[in-house]
Amino acid sequence: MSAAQPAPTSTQAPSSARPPVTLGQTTHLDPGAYVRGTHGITLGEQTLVHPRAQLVAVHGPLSIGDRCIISEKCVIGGPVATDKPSEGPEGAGRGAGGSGSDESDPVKTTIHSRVYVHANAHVLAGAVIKEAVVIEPHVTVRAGVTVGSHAKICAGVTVDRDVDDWAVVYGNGDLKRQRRRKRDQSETEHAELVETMRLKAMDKEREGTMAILKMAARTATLAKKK
Amino acid sequence: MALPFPYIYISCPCSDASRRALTSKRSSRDVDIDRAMQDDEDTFDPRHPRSAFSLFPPEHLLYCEECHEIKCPRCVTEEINATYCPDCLFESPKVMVRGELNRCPRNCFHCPICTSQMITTSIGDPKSGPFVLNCNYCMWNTLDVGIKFDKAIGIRGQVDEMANGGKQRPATLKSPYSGQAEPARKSSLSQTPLSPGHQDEAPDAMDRSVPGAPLDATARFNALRAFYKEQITDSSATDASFPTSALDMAYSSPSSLQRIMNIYTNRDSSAKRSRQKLTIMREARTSSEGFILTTESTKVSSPSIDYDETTTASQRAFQHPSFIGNPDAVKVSELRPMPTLMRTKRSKRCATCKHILTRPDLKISSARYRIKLIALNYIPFVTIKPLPVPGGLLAPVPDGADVVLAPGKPVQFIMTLRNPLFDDASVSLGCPSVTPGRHGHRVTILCPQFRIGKNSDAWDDALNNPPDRGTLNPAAGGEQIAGKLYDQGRNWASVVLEIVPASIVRQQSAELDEDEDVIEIPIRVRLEWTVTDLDAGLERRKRDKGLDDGEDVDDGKRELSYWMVVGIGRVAC
Ligand SMILES: [Zn+2]
Ligand SMILES: [Zn+2]
Ligand SMILES: [Zn+2]
Ligand SMILES: [Zn+2]
Repeated sequence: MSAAQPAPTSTQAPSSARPPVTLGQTTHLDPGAYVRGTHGITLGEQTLVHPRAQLVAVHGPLSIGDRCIISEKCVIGGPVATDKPSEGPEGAGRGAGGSGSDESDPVKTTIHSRVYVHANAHVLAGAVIKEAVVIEPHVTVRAGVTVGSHAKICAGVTVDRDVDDWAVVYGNGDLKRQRRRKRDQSETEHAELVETMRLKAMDKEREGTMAILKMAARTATLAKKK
Repeated sequence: MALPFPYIYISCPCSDASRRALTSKRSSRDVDIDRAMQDDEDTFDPRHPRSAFSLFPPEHLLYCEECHEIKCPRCVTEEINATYCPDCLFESPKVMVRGELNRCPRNCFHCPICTSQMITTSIGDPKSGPFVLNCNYCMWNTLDVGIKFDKAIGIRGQVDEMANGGKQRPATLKSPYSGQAEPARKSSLSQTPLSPGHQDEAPDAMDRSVPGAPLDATARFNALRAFYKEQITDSSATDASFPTSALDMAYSSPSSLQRIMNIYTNRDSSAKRSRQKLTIMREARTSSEGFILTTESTKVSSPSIDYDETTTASQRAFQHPSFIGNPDAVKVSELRPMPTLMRTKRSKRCATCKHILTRPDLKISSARYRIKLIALNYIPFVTIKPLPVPGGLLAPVPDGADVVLAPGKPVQFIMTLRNPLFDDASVSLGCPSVTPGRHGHRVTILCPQFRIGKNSDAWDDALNNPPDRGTLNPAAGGEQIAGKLYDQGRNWASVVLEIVPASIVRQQSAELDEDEDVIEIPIRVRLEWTVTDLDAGLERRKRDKGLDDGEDVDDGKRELSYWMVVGIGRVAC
């Protein structure tokens, strides 16, 4: 994997070999990240993509919302190995409870805002990740699966079916709990309060890391020019 | 067995009862000879049901320098040096531990949902709170059960005083941690017959059903106990043979045993007594006496609980004991965060001579040992691999696949013994020509007696010897001649072990016992060496033990023999 370093010159102007990437003004797509495929990739505002993360637009377009963190060694829109989107339609077809909008041949992969994808997680083509979801290391989200907003997929779990809003999937993927119960008013408030604290902390982390990575990228390009 | 092939187990000599009796008089030479003869006579059978209790991986064994014996976990005694919390690494003084119910008295808690460690976080101002305990794994927090804290320290004390929902726990319940540890130590005998039933209801359901006296499980236990004690006191006034002390009866005391035996032997009188008692004693009736109607609580808790809101068996098990957690929780909202269980640092002593075998560093944050006499520093480390011949077995791969041997076909293995001692040792290996058990596999050790060099400095060895010595030389070494070593190095020697597996014949219907096809070879290892650096050794022992054993004349001769079991592989069948 390390051999295939593309080393693009600028984050704002993708070269001709790379897919068309639309970036928000304040978004940092690290030059060390891998971008491939032919379909369009859209990134929202203030999103951070770590070096060595892979954005794959082979199977279809990729859309990532605002204020997300995509950590290193993540694969978004995979699998990488196959050139044809053979995996995509199969997954999209059985994702009956999901968005259902991805019936066409190129499979769209959507990550909504404030999603935190940890290192080495795989989000396969056709998956939909809603707002403020946490995806922990070594998680695989199968094609066509919709992960509800504020859900958390704990480390190592493979998600092969839709996940409710505010759900936590842990253990071997067979354990699930609801962070917020619908009937309980005070509980809903509590869960939202704690979630706000978590998102605040995540924003802080993202801003800090972004500053460091931006500086590192700048230093690297300067060194190359010399 | 659990280990991949080939594996080595060592049988601790303590399993041999006759031997244990003899070793106490180890000064006598005759006894030693007797022992050796007796040991040679009966071959150790690794398949004997008893053997499973004496076989240990060599890494688990210790060595006593006083008794010159291998020591297994069964022949050591343990003593607690320190009790500490594994999460915050604070040590609790011994006198406090019991009052703290063996759990961290500070801020350490574990999640009742997923059991991972919880952290204290602020949900308001970072300094002044309020604070909650939050599980970073499953995102459960104490707000889910309506608990938040005013201070970020002393969480344990705050949790103990709070019921789920944030209300103060009833005043009758002094938190067990603040001094009242009795319920934990009660013997089952001292519990009144009704008391087990009281645990069956959820305390919070009871809170609602009996508004006047909101007692929780612990308080109710105490109320019931007090009530029945009173009842017994009253009834014992008329029945002298049933004293009040029966309530606090201890099984260990001979007088109470006598009393129990009397109850059983004089059945007539006890029957009469019980009839008598029935008329005098009454059961608890009011809630202040700890009484509660179960029907009410079931009525309250039964309507429409989501399946997602119910607790799992393991979650309930994690809530034990009942005076800290809530093992009867039906809903997840009834679960309590559990304070971290304390851990201990222990030192081990030889059970026969009290010599210290291991002693951990007293500093909690250090994982090192100050003394650790592991057996592998005294006995040779044994490795086994197939003889590299064309058509022979391949070296085992680390994936743990079984080694399968063809029946009737001789297979050679190289057994290498590495000497950890700083003195030359002479080794003799004895093994039965046919392994014990139903399927006798034929075994031959081509060179059963040899010496292995001392574990000297590796650099000395490299300087004194040409570099190619000690490595396998196909011309000179690698011989499979009886009485000759296969190969030899600075502190190691290899011998060839030949095995002819017996074929396992079975009837059509007969099933093999579990692991019946495994070839396990018992080998008697006998080591003899002379400690040359005796003064240093003695000094060290004196320092370790603070013992003056100047009169015990030590000629430095050491002798050690034990049974080793080698698991080679399976027979194809
Ligand atoms: Zn033992
Ligand atoms: Zn602690
Ligand atoms: Zn948890
Ligand atoms: Zn001893």
